[in-house]
Amino acid sequence: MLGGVAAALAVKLDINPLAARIAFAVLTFVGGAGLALYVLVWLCLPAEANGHSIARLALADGKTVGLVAAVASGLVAAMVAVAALGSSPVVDALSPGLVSLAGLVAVWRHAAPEDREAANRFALLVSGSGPSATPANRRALFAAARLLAGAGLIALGTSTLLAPKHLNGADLAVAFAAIGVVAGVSLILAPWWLRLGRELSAERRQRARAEERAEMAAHLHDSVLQTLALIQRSAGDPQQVQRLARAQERELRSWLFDQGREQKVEAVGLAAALNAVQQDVEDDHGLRVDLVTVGDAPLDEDLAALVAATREAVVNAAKWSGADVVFVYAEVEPDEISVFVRDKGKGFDPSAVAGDRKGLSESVHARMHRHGGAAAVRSGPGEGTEVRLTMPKRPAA
Amino acid sequence: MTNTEHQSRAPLKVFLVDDHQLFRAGVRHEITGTGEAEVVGEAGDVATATERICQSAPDVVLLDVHMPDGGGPQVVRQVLERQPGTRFLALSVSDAAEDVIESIRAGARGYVTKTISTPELLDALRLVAEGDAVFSPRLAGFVLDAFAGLPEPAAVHFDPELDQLTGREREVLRLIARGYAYKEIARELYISVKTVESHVSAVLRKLQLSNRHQLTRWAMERRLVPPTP
Repeated sequence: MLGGVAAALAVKLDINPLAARIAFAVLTFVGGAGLALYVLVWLCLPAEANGHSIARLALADGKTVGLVAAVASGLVAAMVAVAALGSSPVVDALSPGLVSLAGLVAVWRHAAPEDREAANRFALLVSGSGPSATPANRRALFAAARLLAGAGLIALGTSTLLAPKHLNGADLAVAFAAIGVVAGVSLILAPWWLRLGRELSAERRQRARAEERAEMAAHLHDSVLQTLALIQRSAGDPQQVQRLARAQERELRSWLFDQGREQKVEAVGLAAALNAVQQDVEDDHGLRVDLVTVGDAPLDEDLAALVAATREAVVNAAKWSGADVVFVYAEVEPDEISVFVRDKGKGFDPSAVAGDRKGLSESVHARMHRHGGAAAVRSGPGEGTEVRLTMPKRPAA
Repeated sequence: MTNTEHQSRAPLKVFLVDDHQLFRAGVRHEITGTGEAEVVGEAGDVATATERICQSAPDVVLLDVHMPDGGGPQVVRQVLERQPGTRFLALSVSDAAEDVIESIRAGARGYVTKTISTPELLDALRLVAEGDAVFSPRLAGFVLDAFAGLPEPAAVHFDPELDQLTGREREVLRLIARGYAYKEIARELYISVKTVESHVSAVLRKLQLSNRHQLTRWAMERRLVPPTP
């Protein structure tokens, strides 16, 4: 509700905050006891941020104790005077209001520092020693007006409580008085609540940052640190080290640079699909795949077949050529798309292909033909191998 | 990249520019291992690099295209202003076409990726030191991509001499992109290795001098890291 007291109390007592709020409201309207209780709880419950209740702070500050005592005694004096004039119900109605006023002094002493600063400025302005019409002074004026209005409302509420002539409609009068006091208190304490809100949102931002950091740390731990550990353990196997480092580099790069594009559907184009082939083969076979693409085209059924045939050819080179690098070059031209897969490995005699090279003819040639494309293999013992795949581009439908 | 015997010649004087000290150490270890090259100096930032390169007069400078304070291209420009004969081979982790093209346009005579093997790197250094151009498959792909399509006829400064590749140059670049060495290209096209080299040098010149609008636009489109995150 106001200072978050109901909610805090609810947490403390382990009850529904709504119930606490209703209880306060009801008690406020029935004789103003709720208000007093509210302020008391406000004083005594420790603030979540620093763990100190305002009461503790107030007690540690001698000046506050004095102030509270002074206000309280003044009020008691007034009450006694009223009691002497009228009947005891007035005192009954008044006492909670008095307690709350005394408590508010303590609250005020330890509330927003900018308020006190504004008050000081106002004092300077009134005494004529400060420069006028600066934004700070205007702020001070505004703060002073707010304070005056608040104090006025409180005074009005209190005086209504104190006035014997309204006793006939006692309940209604008390209710109005209570509302007046609450409104006054709200006005005075508004900046403090605002500050609390600001602090809360700042805290939330900080928490978001911390979460981001934690996520990054977790990611680095899962990826980079794991890989580094693996690399240390496989220091004797250069190929394995290379494979690990390459895979990690790729992963980190895509994590760093592609984060904003995560929502995008993956591998929609030829270049992206060939990239995936490159990554898979490098990871699975531990050799370098040097991929160069010129132009790009959206992946349709034909191009998917072309990518599959490319994969087969690259895997073949990885398995059989003995070379440590395979070159893949893809070019998208207006009427045709070609892919070249080349290695500088041991090569073979295409006319004397034995059964174990079936992979090439079956999955590469057949696949390409089914989609209207063509595959050609050029190789010779000791000359390396080049597979050329071409797929005519379908006219846009 | 030719596989000529280099052992008999004097070691190549190489200067290393890279802001990663660890990487410099690795490269130094690799290229000096065979005695084919010696490292005459190193630098990790633009100012130091410019100063020391001018002092040590290396045969070839091997430099990283991504560096703080304007990076590799800045070093190339500043040194060439003072010593126009200096030769640069650009090196990068990969991918950032814009940086690569900028280094070449600043005056680097070649580009290789950091995944290059040691013998290939030595060949490339030797070629650049001798005044040839070195195109890795990736750079060839970049260039083909950048010069692809018809140039805008409305372009104010369009110069067919500079803004278009000839059919032969295109063929040579395609073969480089397919992983062919200069010698293999020569055999494939029935021309001499010298002719291949002169085609590549011509492409390099076009790359450096072309006003072709697409070159910049293309590099921008290829840019992997967004300008402001």
